[in-house]
Amino acid sequence: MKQIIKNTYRIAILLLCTCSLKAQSPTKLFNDSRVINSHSVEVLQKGTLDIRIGHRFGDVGGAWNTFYGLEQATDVYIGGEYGLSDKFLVGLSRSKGSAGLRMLVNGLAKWNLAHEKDGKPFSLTLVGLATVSTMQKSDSPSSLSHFPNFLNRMSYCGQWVIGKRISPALSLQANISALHRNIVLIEDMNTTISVGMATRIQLNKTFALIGDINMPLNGPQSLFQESSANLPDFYIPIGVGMEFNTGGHIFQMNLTNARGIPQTDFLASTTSSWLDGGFRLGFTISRVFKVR
Amino acid sequence: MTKSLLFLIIGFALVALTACLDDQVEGNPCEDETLESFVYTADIQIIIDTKCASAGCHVDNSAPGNFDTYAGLEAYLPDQIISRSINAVDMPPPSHPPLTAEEMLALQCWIQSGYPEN
Repeated sequence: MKQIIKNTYRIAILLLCTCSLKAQSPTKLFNDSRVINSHSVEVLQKGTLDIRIGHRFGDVGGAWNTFYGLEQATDVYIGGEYGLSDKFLVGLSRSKGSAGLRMLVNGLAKWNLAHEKDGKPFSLTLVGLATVSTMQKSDSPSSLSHFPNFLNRMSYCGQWVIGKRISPALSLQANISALHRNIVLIEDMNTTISVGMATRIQLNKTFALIGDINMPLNGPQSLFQESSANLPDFYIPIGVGMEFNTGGHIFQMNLTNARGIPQTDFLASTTSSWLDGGFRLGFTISRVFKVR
Repeated sequence: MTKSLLFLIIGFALVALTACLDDQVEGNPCEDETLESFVYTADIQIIIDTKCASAGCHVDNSAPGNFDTYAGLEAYLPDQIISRSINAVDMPPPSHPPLTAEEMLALQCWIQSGYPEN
């Protein structure tokens, strides 16, 4: 009990301290449309194009054999997102894929329904993501990529994201997601519900600390259900990182145990553990262009 | 604008919902009795030597484990080989030649039958 009180006290002090830090942009809770693994509540302005490149290296626990993961790539992501209005964006991206299904093409739609900059008490965004695997069909019926039906290549994720600026330098958000994969291994579940939290703490004009966590609530990925002997052990995807606003780019460096970048590729597929060295260095570069 | 966006989103949602399947991969392919007789020395060693224990990988401590012997491989059986090579299919890594469907099936059925050496 004493420990809980002590920890609560420490968190309260940390939150109070952030009030005195440099405030972030008055119009945004987050600088980017992503935190680390999670989508943020933010969308793009009308007529702007966001070119995004993301990379996740190999396990830091690979040590010298893989130069602490820098000689491997668990996922590579490149894509663009375009603001159709100040509230709605669409995006298309390609990622290598890190779990059973690879060579992924991801379609994204994101709709901001409320934002604090418009005087609302919180920001609310709806995210929809559809992913198709373009990998070659396998002859083995026990493989995920056997694809007896074309639709087996598809997976979807719908997400509500709600965010609030707690202080001029501290933003918090929570999300609830429904992930549906059209094909899974035996004993896995097609639909996974998960909840998540994310935060951003502005340290000065250029630097911010960011972090997020997503926790599956059902299926073998959940902490509340025993793992299956026929499936790998699953872990909660957690990411921490630094965000650099260079003026032209948002550059983000992170450490995370998630292997894949899109939600469809990590929410129910994270099999690496922080405690076993199964976390990796990653980065994302975002460059926004005014097109119209 | 908001109304057309709403229609667009509802349209996408309807398409996504009608395209949802609840499929799982087919049942146990190793129940076929022709696939029950794999042994390490005759069937599996050649796969491991070629795809896993090649230079710079799981041999001579280049990567975790020395898979050039049965005992070395046994330390990673059954969980890690099943989870990485059969289920997640991320080993061998993408930069190396993958296991063929036949090789994966042989590994899977050999492990299911208790991974006998001879």
